[in-house]
Amino acid sequence: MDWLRLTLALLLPLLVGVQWVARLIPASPGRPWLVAGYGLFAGLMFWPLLLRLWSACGLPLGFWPPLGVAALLLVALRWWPQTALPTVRQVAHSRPLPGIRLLCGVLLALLCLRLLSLGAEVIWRPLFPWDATMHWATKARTWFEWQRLVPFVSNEAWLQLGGQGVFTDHHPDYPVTVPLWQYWLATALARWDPALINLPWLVCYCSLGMAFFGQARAAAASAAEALVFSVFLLTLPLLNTHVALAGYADLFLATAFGLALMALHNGSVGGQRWQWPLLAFSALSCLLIKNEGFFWMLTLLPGLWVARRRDARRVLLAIAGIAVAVPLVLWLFPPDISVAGHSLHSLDLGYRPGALSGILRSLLVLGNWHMSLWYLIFLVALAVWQRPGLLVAAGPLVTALCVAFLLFLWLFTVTEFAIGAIRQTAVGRIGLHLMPGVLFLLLVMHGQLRRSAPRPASTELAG
Amino acid sequence: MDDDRRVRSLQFLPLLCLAAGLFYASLASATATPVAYPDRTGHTVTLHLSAQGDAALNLACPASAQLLHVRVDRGELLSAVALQRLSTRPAAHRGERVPGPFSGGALQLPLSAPGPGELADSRCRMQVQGRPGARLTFSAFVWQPVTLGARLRGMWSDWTGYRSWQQYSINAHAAVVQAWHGLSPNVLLGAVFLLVGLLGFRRWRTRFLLGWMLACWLVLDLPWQWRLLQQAEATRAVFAGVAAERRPGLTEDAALWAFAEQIRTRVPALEPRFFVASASDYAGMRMAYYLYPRNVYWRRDGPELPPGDALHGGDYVVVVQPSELRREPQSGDLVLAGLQARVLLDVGGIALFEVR
Repeated sequence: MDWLRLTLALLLPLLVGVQWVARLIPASPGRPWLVAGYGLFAGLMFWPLLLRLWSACGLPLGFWPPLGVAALLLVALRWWPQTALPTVRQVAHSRPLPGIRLLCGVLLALLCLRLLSLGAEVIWRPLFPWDATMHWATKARTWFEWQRLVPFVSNEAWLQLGGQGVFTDHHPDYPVTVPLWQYWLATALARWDPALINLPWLVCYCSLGMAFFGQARAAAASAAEALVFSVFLLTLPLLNTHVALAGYADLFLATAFGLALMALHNGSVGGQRWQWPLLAFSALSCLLIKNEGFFWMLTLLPGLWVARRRDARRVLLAIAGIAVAVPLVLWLFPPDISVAGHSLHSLDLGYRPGALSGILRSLLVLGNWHMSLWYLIFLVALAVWQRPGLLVAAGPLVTALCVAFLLFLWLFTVTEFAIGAIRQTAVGRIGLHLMPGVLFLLLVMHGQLRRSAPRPASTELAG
Repeated sequence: MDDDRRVRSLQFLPLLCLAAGLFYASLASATATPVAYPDRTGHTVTLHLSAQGDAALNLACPASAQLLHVRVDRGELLSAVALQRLSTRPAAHRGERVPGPFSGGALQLPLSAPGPGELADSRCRMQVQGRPGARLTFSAFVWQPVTLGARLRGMWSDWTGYRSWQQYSINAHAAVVQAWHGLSPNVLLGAVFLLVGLLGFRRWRTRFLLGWMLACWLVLDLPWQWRLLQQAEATRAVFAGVAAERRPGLTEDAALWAFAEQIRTRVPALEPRFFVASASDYAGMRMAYYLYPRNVYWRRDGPELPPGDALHGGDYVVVVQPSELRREPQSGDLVLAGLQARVLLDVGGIALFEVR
């Protein structure tokens, strides 16, 4: 009975997301993967919103009534008239060589094994990492037992109110999407299960992988190339750890930002206007997951500006402009105004020696990202040497990622968060938010280099 | 006759000198390596970990930088081992902490060369941390110089060895954790990738590059997959078949969780306010977590308890050691300004008080 309720609790909300996304994406290479990847993530974002709306309307929370609404939405989406979508021209691919097919089989087996290893941890291990029990699951546990979305306030406000009708934890102002999923699964099980409430992390992992594969195919990569880069993404050790030791929101934010960056790239290439709604929804999702999501969302704006007219000068101008604008904003912005939970006053600006070596250690020396950043260094060097026209082909993606990396550098070198780089406590987790985009950039760079140096097709990884 | 006797007595002189020499030699060697720091090479020693989970073993060691190879029978019970070179100044004792567990049973412990100004002392101490009360047998004790080969082998065993999840795992994945070998598989493979990749790209272009990248990636990923599988098996062995709500009792938080369960029985109502006080961030935070859905107050990076007027009758205070809060020596009650907080439960360094 537990598993039936759990399956329903996951399946119906996620299917609503899948149904919605299926209405946006026309027939195109990788469409099933795009629908599944973006659809599952849409379901993960939509359901907590519905629960919040439900609670705001004063309706009693529970298991069956919200599920009934999900079922109704599913029926409505299924039968709502569909506007005709343009069909994307299918690119003909030759049948892959037997050796390539065998390699793909091995890689798929490796991915299945990874999913099993991570799934075992999610199913058996109770909440383990620090923040999971400090400010994420605290809310879920309270809402589940009280069956109300009782408010959480700061320590000071709690003392002032004498704790009457309010609760407190270390970060009461964090977005509630992640704890609402934990609350929902505990409600489905009708008991607090500190392991199974983390199943959405497994769903998020799958959604990221499928969306990445689908976008790689939409970016004209062969099936084998798309699979190889998907394996790169899904085997990143720190990303795997965030699934196995579920409870942090960083995996969700990495997925939202990654999905937005991929949609930005493919949407700007032309002929894929349906990518824009995917970009808008993924970008806005960043706001629903963590406060940092606001800043990642902002980094997409220069990318959008570049997407309006794709030329290399615009890309360089955008990156240089942001590199100048960020210190100016830090200098001129009123220090006591809080944006997304942070004010300049609380950031205690000033260069921290030692932070840069901590960042390099996190990116290149530790095992967080396997070989990703070494590959990036190599491809950037090749791009400078060979000039394959990368800034024109992937201008928006390059711009958004460079701007995000600039913010990342500023955060860990001149703010109090530098300690997170020196002690390796936060630099890896914040870096995780950028990694799906970086892996997609590697795929695009690889494809651009291949296209700029034509050779017989039979020897390439055909798909 | 007298001369003859004198000559005969002189015959014992060399024997006397030899005896005196042996006596002084034994004294000198005792000064260099006291009996309390014996040469353990090839020996077997059993250590009994204390209630705090630590123990120490003294041993003689070389005066240069070396690597000590030791075998242990139940390495999975060890959380860390460090080999310290002792000096005349206890504050200057140095030693790299090698984190456990050591499931394979083989330990490689680095011993640094004496630093500038330090004595080349031949006395060392092996500090052991692990499960409280565990009895562990150490054997072999072989010293080796730290060569490039030893460093490479050290990196390999560090990289491919099993380490269970730690609190820092969520922040960073260190493929290797021991600093003494000074090598990182990521950097080594990264350098090889760049060199061979450049040569291969000039000859075969991108068709070579992706294959080469995939090969390097798998070299790094297979040990990681192996570790994940071992970890999944360890997780299954501990938690599978146990009711979900009882699983925290099988973790390092067992004492905190068990205490929260006792509070649940003792104070079943959800309405009272609970204040958690501890000088340890981790202990305070986890205690608070296990007390939800009660109305819990716990503050990080601040005073353990809010000002006295914030508490009133009917509140509860949970104090988790270490804590700077004082208690009455006689009654065990909590000393709070203007308030009386009577102890209700007191188990293993965690206590529940009721404010009156």
